[in-house]
Amino acid sequence: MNEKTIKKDDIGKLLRALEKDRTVYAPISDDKCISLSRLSPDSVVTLEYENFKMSAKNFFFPQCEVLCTFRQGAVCDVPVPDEKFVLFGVRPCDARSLMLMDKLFGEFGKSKDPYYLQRRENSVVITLACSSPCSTCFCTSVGGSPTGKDGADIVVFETGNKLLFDPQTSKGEKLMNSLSEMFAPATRSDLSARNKIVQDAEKMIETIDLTGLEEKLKNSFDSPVWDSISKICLGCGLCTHQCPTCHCFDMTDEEDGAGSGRRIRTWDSCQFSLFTLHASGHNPRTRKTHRMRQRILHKFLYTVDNLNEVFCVGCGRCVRNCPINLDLREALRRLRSEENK
Amino acid sequence: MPDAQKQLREIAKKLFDENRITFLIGYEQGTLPDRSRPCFISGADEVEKLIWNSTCSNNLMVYLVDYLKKKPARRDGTHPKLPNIGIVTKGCDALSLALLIKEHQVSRENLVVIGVPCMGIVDPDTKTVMTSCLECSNPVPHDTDFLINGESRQPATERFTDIEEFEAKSPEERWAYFKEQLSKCIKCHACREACPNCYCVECFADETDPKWLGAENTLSNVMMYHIGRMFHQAGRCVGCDACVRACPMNVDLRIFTHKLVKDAKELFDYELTESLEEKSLLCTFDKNDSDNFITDPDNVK
Repeated sequence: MNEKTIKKDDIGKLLRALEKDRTVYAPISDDKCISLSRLSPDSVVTLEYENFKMSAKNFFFPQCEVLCTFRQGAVCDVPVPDEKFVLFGVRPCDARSLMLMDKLFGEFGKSKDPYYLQRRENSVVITLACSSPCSTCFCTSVGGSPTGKDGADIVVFETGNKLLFDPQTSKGEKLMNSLSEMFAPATRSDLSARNKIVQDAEKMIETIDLTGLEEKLKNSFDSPVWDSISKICLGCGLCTHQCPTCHCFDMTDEEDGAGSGRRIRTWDSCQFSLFTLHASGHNPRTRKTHRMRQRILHKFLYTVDNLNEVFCVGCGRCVRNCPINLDLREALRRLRSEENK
Repeated sequence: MPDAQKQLREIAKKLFDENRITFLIGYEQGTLPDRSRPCFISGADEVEKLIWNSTCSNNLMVYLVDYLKKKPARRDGTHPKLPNIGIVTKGCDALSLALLIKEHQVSRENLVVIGVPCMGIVDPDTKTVMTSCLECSNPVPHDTDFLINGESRQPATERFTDIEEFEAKSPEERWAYFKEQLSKCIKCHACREACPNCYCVECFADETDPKWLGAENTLSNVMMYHIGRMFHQAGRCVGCDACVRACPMNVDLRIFTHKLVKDAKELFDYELTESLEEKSLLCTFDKNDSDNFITDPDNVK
């Protein structure tokens, strides 16, 4: 039994103690929104939030990463990052996305991504289990749970005026041991409060029945349903940029005009028409329909084939924030019930 | 008088029955509380889907250029046929439509415009009328084929109150605010895609030869994109706030485009109207045009 508790009011103290040998990112409110931000001397940590606008993806797979620099024909590698850091308050869906990305960047194919994997190695992910999910959450339909452990080193539960820390990995345990004087052992009532949260939270999440979706998608490539789903899509990259599991990137050489420069890797979006534009001028995905189909098939079919995982964690960001309310849940329901010819 | 939504459905049905339109673009109930969304109606049997209420926020004109931009002539001199489209149009959308017609992006003869008088759009989060609507000077569209009977808000008498605070700042403070706001941008381009005015076949931000801005999400690249986009809105922005609502990061885009609308008014005595006789500001030149923003920038407000 490794569960330990601290008083809720002591969370700031705990996080500041962690700061001694690593950077700490925690839920901090800045006038309008709460985001996972770096702890500063005057910042106040809050536990009152549903989820952050952006997932934790940027901490491991940043929107821009310099891969190497070059100068007059000589190439210089950029060392892999060595910052040690803690993320406190990640929601279980976003932590689960890290478990999926670990497979993608670490196991898929022959090459491993040193930048992503080193950051994962350097980090401790502490999730805060959900007790009041958003109406747009659907994690339980895609293999997750509002109190899930995937991708987390420690799962924290809010039990009354205490926080219960439940370590999941040796990294998480080590971190708790390093501050053992701040924790009290969990009592039986703490544990039963935790179990109640686990039981209750799942019931609050809307489920979508996705059984048989994969088979349907296999035969859907030429289906007219894609046209109908994507008709109102604006073609922006909001859904992919906010998605915790979207991982497509572009590589660009940024040159100074005198033969020196940097090779950078930046997030790209399959929803942009430029995404598949060839140097010849040919574009295999000219229409929004093609691009929408790619996004959904990639997440719900291709990654299932390649990694045996659905690449969606049901965080609901794309559902909540789509400017024209194109609801992925609804699209999936339609695809599943559609008769493919 | 039947309610506006009912009138709308009746008109839509009539248009399909009389074979006057290929499809109709309107609003349907969304999947989230207090949200509607755009919908394409393709026959009389679907008109019951149509709704009209204070959640109908999207500027539907954003879809038109794809369908109604005149295609190049064939060898025999004729142009490929365009579809006939029915479209539900609020006052602000009507200004967008006028602009698209003036700038030769949309052919008016292929449109059946169903105007809806607007009481203002309610923000689904705050449940209050949106700032853009408080500033609205055109709550009832004029150039319509059908106009729904119904209540509308009074045109705003006090204009540009939302940018007073911004204008009172010193140039340094404004620049700081601009930087602070844009540092939130994640370059998803939702603002551009939601804006009917942003119809360039290839946006300068996407061009690779020449490459106007870098791929990295540095503040400098982000600002380059937004400055480019915003300056193209001078005298063109209709104030519909489509960009503001689309932005997932709550960037205060409105303040900047609205300031440019005011600048266009003050410097060039120009404000976009539905009149098709009047050209778009960026397409006109007059030798008396103000140029002190170039020659004497320190003394421009």
